[in-house]
Amino acid sequence: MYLLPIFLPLISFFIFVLLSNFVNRKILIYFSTFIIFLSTFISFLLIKDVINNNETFEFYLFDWLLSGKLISNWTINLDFLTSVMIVIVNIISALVQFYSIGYMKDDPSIARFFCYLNLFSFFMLILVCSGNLLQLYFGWEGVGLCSYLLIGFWFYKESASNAALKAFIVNRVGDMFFILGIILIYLTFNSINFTNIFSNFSSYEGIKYNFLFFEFDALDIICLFLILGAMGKSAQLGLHTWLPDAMEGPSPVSALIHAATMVTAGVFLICKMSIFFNNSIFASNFIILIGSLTAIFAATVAITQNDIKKIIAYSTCSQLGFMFIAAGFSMYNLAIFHLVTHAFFKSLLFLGAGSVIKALDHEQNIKKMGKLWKKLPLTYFVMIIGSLALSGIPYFSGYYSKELIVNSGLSSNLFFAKYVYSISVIVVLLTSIYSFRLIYYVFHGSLNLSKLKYIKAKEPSIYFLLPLVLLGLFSIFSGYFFKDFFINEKYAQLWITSNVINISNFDLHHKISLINYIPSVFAFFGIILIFYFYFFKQNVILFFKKKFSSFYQFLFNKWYFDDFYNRIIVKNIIKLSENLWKKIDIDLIDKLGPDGLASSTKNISKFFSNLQTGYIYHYVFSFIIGMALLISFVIFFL
Amino acid sequence: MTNIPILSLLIFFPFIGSLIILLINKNDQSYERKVKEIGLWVSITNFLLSLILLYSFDKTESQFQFIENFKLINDLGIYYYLGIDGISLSFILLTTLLVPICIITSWNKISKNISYFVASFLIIECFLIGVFSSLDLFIFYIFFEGSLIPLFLIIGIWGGSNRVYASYKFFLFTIFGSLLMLLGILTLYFYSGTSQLTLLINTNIPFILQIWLFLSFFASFAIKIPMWPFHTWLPDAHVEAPTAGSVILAGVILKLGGYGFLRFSLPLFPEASEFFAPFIFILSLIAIIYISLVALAQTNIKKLIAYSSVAHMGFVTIGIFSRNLEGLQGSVFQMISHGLISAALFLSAGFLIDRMKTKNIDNFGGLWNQMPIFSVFFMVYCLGAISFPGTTGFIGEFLILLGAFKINFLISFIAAFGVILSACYVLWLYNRVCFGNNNFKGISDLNTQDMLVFLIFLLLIVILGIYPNFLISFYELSTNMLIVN
Repeated sequence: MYLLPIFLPLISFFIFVLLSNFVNRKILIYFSTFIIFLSTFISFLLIKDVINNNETFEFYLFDWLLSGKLISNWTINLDFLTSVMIVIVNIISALVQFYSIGYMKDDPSIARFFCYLNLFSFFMLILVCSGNLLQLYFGWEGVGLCSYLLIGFWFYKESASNAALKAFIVNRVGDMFFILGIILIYLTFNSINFTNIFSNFSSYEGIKYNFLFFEFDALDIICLFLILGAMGKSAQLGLHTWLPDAMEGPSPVSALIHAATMVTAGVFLICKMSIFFNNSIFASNFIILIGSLTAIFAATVAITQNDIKKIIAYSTCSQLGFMFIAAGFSMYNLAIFHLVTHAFFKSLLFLGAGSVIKALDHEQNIKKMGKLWKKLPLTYFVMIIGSLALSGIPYFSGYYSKELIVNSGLSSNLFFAKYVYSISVIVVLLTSIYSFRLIYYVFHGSLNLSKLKYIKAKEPSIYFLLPLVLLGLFSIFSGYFFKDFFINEKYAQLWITSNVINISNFDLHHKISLINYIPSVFAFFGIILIFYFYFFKQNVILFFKKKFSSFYQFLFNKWYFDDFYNRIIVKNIIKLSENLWKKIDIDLIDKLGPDGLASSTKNISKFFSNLQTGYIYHYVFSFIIGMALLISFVIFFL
Repeated sequence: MTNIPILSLLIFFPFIGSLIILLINKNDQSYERKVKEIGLWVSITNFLLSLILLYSFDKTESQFQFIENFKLINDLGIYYYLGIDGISLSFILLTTLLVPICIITSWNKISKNISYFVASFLIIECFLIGVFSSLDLFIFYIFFEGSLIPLFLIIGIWGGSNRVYASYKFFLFTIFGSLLMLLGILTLYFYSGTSQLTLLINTNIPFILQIWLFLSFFASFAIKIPMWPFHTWLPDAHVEAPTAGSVILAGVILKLGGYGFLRFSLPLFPEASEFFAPFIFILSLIAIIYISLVALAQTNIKKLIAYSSVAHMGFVTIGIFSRNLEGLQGSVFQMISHGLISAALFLSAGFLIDRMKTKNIDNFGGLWNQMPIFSVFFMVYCLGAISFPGTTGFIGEFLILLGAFKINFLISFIAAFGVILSACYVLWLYNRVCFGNNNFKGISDLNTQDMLVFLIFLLLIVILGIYPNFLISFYELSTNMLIVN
């Protein structure tokens, strides 16, 4: 029965593939939504069972790849970590599908959309339930594929098609390292099964690998490769450029894939392999460094952007940085906690943004909106909730996870800990600034819409509202209600059976110390800043923009990452490939080889016979020579 | 079952079929249809025969099976010596599967000299099965060379506008290698006094001689695979060849080189293989990186796929010469997988070219609008080409990377860049073909007959991708034997 939540989406995918030409589309869509809600329901039963009995389940399906000592099977492994992910994936999938009934109502390809969504859910569930690394990689690539298909869903837009390609290729860079990491793990531990790897963990000691002429400890280099893989999927600095572009996809996709589930796969991987990362100081430092750089990078870019979805995308990037920081501090359970709360409030923000975009007939520029709070009161309300949760205002869900992550920088012994702490406090401030800047421009501010659009704008249908309200409730309460499962000692056993290193019983919350409140204070401060300057002192902002215009341009152009990649790397690779083809393949090899030979053969054969110039003749001729050689050799030697 | 010379039957049945086709009265009204039907039924029967072969093949036996051995020429020691192991079996099945598909896909497209066309394919089938089942060097050579003639004709007669140049190039490259190999075979024969593989394996050949022999065989096999820098004949041959010609060329002919390495070079010249392995790794890595980059620059859809074949075969040579279990199993799997995927890709390309009347990728675009079903199939094939897990492409490349890693980290690391590059050129191709805003009028999607063929490839690629052990179990022992020897 617990296999159902994983395979129901696959079944529904096949139903779409096989029946979409024969059965009424509407029926299929309602059916698919029903199925995914059913699967959500079962996943609740599953997690209840897992929590109450501290059980793990293992289902063996069939063999996948057996070669020599390499064994990988198709298995479904369910433990606490997995079932948390299953629940999250299913809830968000269900709400997003429900939302899409309304959002994609007028799209002629709605069946294809649902088809992709179901396929995505399946791959994501396979990813989290996998019992070995290779199957995890299968899901990993699968979600990448669905992301490619969904970003390029409106394939007739050139920007969408390019963004899809970019997403896949940038992810592939990470995937390459991931697959090398898997190979290294296999060679080090003789297995790619999680259970075997974890139980043989100590056996790696002393194994060293030579990487680019340097000797590395096996564990360090494995972790490095896995991190690079995770960075691609979780859009960390350097491999992040695809995520903002991915906003070309429909908004429900952004909510499901590019906020709640797929982008967190990298974090999930690190937590799943926590035993590895926990034992490598190098890896921990590297993770917090990458995480903090990503957090500050994305937050600073987000305050300058004008596209409503891109702002939220950069915010996702930044929050993923926080999850990395948590993992780097060896608080993997906390990373998962932030993953969960983030899934709720970020998909809320994306779906809210979707409602705004839909109401304004696909307008995404926040500078062209304004005064919408009267027109879209409910959307306004839930967006505020989402933003408060995102900023980490006390007692909203984001507060519980984020505050602990930020403060853990104080108690860590890692080399970069203090630096990371100060960065993350700044990021907390920036987070509330960009969130409420968005709220201001969209819902308050001056009215920059055409009158007609403004009048036409109205709160969308029930399909939009129900998911928004539910996610709003989750965004408020999930932190408070679920925090025990993640950070309370009482449930530590659940994490241990999931093979996740965990630190519980945080003294931060028990000890009343003023320093613990710094993040919350900064979050409030950000909101006040926005409120004060935007409502009363607009000219100060303009002044700053002018005064620091080069810095502003630097941020506005996303630290020039995209320009660097496009102008330096992509352009040169394309130039190189043209040159290799034309200069070496055609000019060098062909001129020296066959063309030169061809002209000389032509001459020779003309010499033998100028009766015929047919090319078949040449071949037969030479074939005969070959046979004659053979026979004459044989005869000669006998 | 054992008394029936099933291998000879497999080899000569298509040959007889081709004779019958050539004998049909051309003035008959239904002549064309008859030719095609006979061709199809003969090739399908042969496929069924090969299924019987598969069924009666003993997986637990590591020696050659279905042996037929008798003297061909008295006193010369040349034997008609056939037998197969798991590796040959896989390739035979690939051949017997692809030939009927070739005939089906050219059903309405070829009208010039139809009887010769169909006969060429049957003769190719005969020769190819001969190559994969012969255990005597001379017979092998005859089949190996013979298989080129019909393909040469297919490109030269039914090819595109620049077919003469293409077939010349093809011919020059291959004949050059073949003559060198012939010299090698003769030297080997006179050195050891036998041409039978099973006896040759136990002969000790001095190292210097091994080097020379290895090089002479290498010349032929490397051109066939093709390895860099002997690859330039392939793109031209593919561009000019008719669709069915490309399918059989990419699907099976390219594998002759890899098969040759596995069957002859590795077991007969083990020291030389070891000696040359680094050299081959370098060539293969160049093939993977350099050719992938070149593929990126292509605007001709068939050329792009042809270059991607070269890059994928680069993985195969790495796998073979890493000479460990994973590498060898991976390279056999990669060859079969590439046989399916590239055949499917060329089929799709041919399908597009027929409809769009152009080979230039920039003239395509937006085909999702008109051909959604085709686009789905094409997507899956593209996924195979970028070694997406769940397709056959992944299994091969993963095992090869694993095998190479055991030899040297750097080989695997550089080869892995090929995985990124393949995603670049293949998906970019997909984007330019299927995504976009063009709206071509009057372009029809797959019909039922096309769909059947496309579905066969899709199912094989996916099913073998998620359950590769069905295939691997057949040649597992054979690859083990290669390592033991």
